[in-house]
Amino acid sequence: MNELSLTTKILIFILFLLLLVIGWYLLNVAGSIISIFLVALVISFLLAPSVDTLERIGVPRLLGSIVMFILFFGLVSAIFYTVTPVIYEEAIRVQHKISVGALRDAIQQVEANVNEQLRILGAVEWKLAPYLENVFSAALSNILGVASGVVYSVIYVFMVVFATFFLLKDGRRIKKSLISAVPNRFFEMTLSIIHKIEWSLGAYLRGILLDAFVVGLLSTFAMWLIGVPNFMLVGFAAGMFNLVPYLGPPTGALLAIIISVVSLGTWEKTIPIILAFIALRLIDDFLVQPMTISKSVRMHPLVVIFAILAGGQFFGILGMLFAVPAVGVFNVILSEFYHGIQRYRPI
Amino acid sequence: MSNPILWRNLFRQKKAESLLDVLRNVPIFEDLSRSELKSIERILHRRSYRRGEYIFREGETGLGMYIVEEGAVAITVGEPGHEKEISLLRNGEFFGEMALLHEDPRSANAVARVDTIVLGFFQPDLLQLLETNPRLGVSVVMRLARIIAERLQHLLHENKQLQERIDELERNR
Repeated sequence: MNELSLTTKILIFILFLLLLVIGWYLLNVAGSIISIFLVALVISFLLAPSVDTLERIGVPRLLGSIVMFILFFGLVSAIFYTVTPVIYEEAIRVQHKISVGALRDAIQQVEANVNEQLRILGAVEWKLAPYLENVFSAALSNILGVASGVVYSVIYVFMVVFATFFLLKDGRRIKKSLISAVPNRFFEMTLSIIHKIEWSLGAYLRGILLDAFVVGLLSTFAMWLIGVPNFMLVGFAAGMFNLVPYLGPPTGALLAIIISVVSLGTWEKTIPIILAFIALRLIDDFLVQPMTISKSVRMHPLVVIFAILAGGQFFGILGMLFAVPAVGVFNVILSEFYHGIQRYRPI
Repeated sequence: MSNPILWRNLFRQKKAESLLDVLRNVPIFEDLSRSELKSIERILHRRSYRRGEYIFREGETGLGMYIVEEGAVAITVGEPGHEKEISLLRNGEFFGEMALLHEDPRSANAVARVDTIVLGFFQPDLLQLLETNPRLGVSVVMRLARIIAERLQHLLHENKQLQERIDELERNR
């Protein structure tokens, strides 16, 4: 297959810059509406194969969509009502243990140890406590700010639920109508690209979620085995942060060490925790990821680091969490689009 | 006659029936039940082409087949301006079915001779059909395989005849 000409490459590059600018503008103008649609699209991507399976055994699409819809949101609600209170209670317990005062004591203890070492080396004194205290206070006030948007969240969730159902039920019809608007010259190309994007995107999203779930489960089990208090909270955090490659195990390890040091008042569990998370990382790399995430959609470590930094810069902690999956989605779309253009370029 | 909605519905019914008739006459869909044909119809893409417009060009990657619903499509080979027409397809006839199985480069051009409506049946939709309705999907694929096998048999026969003719010419030289 011949390479694309330089002019075509420049045109594609300009087209994508234009799309990025338009996307950025739309995000600013109608960000929440677009995000409702995107979240609904992701959920419908995840549920579509199950609806297809039901259709295969003779269940009509409408009924299949209703069944999967009820099952999914029922499961999410059940998790919300059963697991969330447990995690919340654990978080509150940890918060009491790691109150700003207790944390200050712990940090001051670490600070004193480090300063003693620095003095031996003849270096200047290290002042960590005031800085970290500010960081934790800011994080706490941030949490309160998020909680104040409950009403908005309810409306948001309702809209997502509504959009998900219709995307599940009528997704194919909507797609067909959109494709019918494409000019004849680009019709087959568009159809092929959309199909490949759909396939890769569905596989990628299901892969990273399954991977995060398995890592969360294994972390919970490992922490229970080691005897770390609040092991469910640690497992939950490790699983959630595993949506960002490389971040799950270190976050889990850090949280587990803080909890075990503050609760048990000893550092003796630190080594087993670090070893457990190194083992988990290896299991994730060599066993879980090869089975859950297709190699073609995995990203280069540099891209991951850049995505995390950019996500954090623009959207804070949540931005860091979702930047990598978002870049993954964009990566899948871009590569399928590029290969599609290559296959269908005019001769 | 005083109720336009009634007339519109009747018209739609007639249009749908004629579309099912078109499909019924396509070898890939022959012997399918009415409900199966309706399932096929749901995944087809109806496209309109103006006279002289290309449906696809030689060398482009193919994604599926087309059925002529209304109009005429010429199958040609060669560069634009020096094309040679090898076939003219009319209502109910189909072309490009090999691309349903493999995204190979098209071996000919397809160009609308008059304003034409075609129904496109593409690989992603066939794969989706195999996922959601394997019985129907497999029966379509089996018919497709039969058509391609018949064509291969025909080509082998032609090839054999050509070989015999070459041998005969060499003997007489």
